[in-house]
Amino acid sequence: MSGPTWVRRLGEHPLPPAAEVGGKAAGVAHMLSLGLPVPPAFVLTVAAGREYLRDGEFPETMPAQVRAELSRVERDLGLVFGDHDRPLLVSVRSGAAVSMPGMMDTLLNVGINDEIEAALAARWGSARFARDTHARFCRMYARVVLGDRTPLDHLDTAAAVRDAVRSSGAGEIPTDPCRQLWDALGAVFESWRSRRAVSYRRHHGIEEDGGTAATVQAMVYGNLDDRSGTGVLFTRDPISGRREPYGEYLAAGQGEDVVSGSTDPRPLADLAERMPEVHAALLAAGRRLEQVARDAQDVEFTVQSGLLVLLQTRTAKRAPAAAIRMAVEMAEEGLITAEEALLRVSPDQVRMATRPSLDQAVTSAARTLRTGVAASPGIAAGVAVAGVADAVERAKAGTDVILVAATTRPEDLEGMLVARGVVTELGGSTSHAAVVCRSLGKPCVVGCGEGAAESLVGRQVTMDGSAGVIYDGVLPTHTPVDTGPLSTLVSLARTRAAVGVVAETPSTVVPENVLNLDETFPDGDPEEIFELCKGVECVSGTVFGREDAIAAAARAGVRWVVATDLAATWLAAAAVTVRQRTTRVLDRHGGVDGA
Amino acid sequence: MTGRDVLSCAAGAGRPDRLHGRLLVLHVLAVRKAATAQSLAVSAGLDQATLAGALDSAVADDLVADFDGTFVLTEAGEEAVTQGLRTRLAGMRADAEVAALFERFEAVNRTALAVFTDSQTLRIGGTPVPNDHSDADYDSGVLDRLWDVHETLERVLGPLVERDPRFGQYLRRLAAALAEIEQGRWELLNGVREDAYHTAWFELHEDLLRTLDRERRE
Repeated sequence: MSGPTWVRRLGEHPLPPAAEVGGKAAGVAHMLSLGLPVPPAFVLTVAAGREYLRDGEFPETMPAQVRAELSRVERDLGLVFGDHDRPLLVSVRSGAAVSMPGMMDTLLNVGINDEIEAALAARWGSARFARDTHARFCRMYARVVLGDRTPLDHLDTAAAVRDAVRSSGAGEIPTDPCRQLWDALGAVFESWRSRRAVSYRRHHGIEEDGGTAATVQAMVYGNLDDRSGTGVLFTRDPISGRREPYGEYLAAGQGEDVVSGSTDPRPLADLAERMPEVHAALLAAGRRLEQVARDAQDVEFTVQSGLLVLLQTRTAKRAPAAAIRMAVEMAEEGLITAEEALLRVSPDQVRMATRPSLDQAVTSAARTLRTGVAASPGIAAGVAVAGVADAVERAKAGTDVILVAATTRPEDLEGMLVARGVVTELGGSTSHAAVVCRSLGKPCVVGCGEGAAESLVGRQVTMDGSAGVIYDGVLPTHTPVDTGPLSTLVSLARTRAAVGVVAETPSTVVPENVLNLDETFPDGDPEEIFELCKGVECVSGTVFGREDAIAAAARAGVRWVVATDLAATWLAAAAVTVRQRTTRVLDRHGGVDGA
Repeated sequence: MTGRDVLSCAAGAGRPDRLHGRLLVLHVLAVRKAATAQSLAVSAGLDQATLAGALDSAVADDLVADFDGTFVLTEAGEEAVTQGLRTRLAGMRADAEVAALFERFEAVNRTALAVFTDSQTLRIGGTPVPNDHSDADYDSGVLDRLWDVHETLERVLGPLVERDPRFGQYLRRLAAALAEIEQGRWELLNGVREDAYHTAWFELHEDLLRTLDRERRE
């Protein structure tokens, strides 16, 4: 009897689509297909999850299929799940096609109990490692499967966790390895119906009758010994964007330790010193993954007794300046086209990267009045003012003000809106002032100490929200415009831009053909902008910081956009052209599906 | 008869902890510091007419000042609300169950502030960078933690809503903001707008501090 296939082995061709097995399993399959060292894994498909949700139980043919794939993993590794001599432990993770809240978190070290802990200790010669592995499983099972929200992180033995979970009333952590596995799989499938997942899908118009896949993968132990550890590799420096590997390594750590930030990892150089051959193999794998993905990657890896394995790869997050350098250099290397480079950087990232800063020569000569906690980045200067009413009045008169207060509250918002920046005496980086200023994109320094307002008010000051310092007087700022990679990016943009970008209306344009939308229409939708721009030659207004507004203007025949942030606007104008071309190419080939 | 029912009978009122009428309006205004009649009605859970009546009488007695439709407490009003709560809420302030609920609120408050901050700033290789919401995995993780916070708050606030339905207004405002945030409108999480999650959260915190006569810890 064949019946439906609920389980798929990962690493065999053809590669499974993410819609069938979830994004994480698709990534694992992709790495396996490249021949990279990845622990063997299989996946219970989205269809299996859907079937489970329909009947409230596992389909009849599923256990045998899971058993068969598990046996294959056992044969590959020479280990046996639930065995008291050479035990195999596995991880279980959820994987919907789209990431959404409410899906079950990763569960590590499934298949362990007291006997197996003893077996692990004997096999690897480390009771500490075995105890740690067992306790981790119990903590994660309690949180992820039983939904226990009480703090358990301080409990470092399985028995202590079991006791705590029992007394909190969350339930019982099973000791039978098979029970652990099936309960975990059931919990993954059930998480599709969690209150928050249902709510998220309703708000995003995602179909209810989808489901989630569950990936089962052999465990590797970064917590085994001093030749083990876990870390993250960025194939390019995510801060500067330079083509230099960057990352973190935590010796004797497991899985989520680095990602969760619960312990202090070391720079990747630590791995290079401890095990140069592993470090070299890691960088080679990173280069390969970057070549295939055609973008910088961040790769999660584990080292078990000197052997490297990769757990996950994804497009690397990057700081704004890094996004610019990476895009330009990847285009120069021929990894991507110039058009792709233009779409890899957002105008907002250019705005962030070209924000004014203070030169070190300036700050070292300046007098520091106060220091506090850097709560929201950026430089601002003005006269320090206490009180919302005063701030509003002086700002209305055209004065640049810095609002100084003991703390801020919601009703101080008006003062915060008119101020160039905000300084508080009390509170930390999660205080009201900090949260609101970050939301407004305004510099903020908090926790400057009592008496700060008194000592600052009435003075001209310059504040640095990235350093947490308030200086005496108005200091000159430095704007990194059009230098290095940014100038290259802007010149790529200029040759492709849908409209010209200028700092002032060109003298050839007659006043009747100029339109400023700030006064009349600061926040229009593209259709309205299109109508308003007909017959107009040159436009200005903050709305033209938006790509869809530039596209509408260009469509209506506008030739020039007047802007204050030239580089960002050039990029937005070029993105309009590149996206139109891409759409035209897709149309000619009958779209993505028909290609 | 449960212990609380006995207490209620002893106090001679159906709901000893519940604020109503003018004291409720004064208290809500003390929490808000300055507000329009319309937004006060939402915070107090009153209809406009009832609110306007209470507000008018408070203005007539110089407890509240009216600045072009924005109301603030006068010094006499501050004093009246402090005195009023002291008398009215003496039982609640001495109640160990309420004190325990407040400690649980302080605990979830710390988590909430961390989630608010993490929604704005993420760490790339250890360096803080503003979140531009381009990473769906990251945002979905933040949303998951926000849900944890929200569900914990529901459990903590439940017994207080039984004592005074005005606490239910906060849950409604927070749930409405959460629904917007879920749709990707992150501006409804942090602060700037009156209907933002952080704004309602801040007011709830302030309300609890005043109700229980405590000091803000951060």
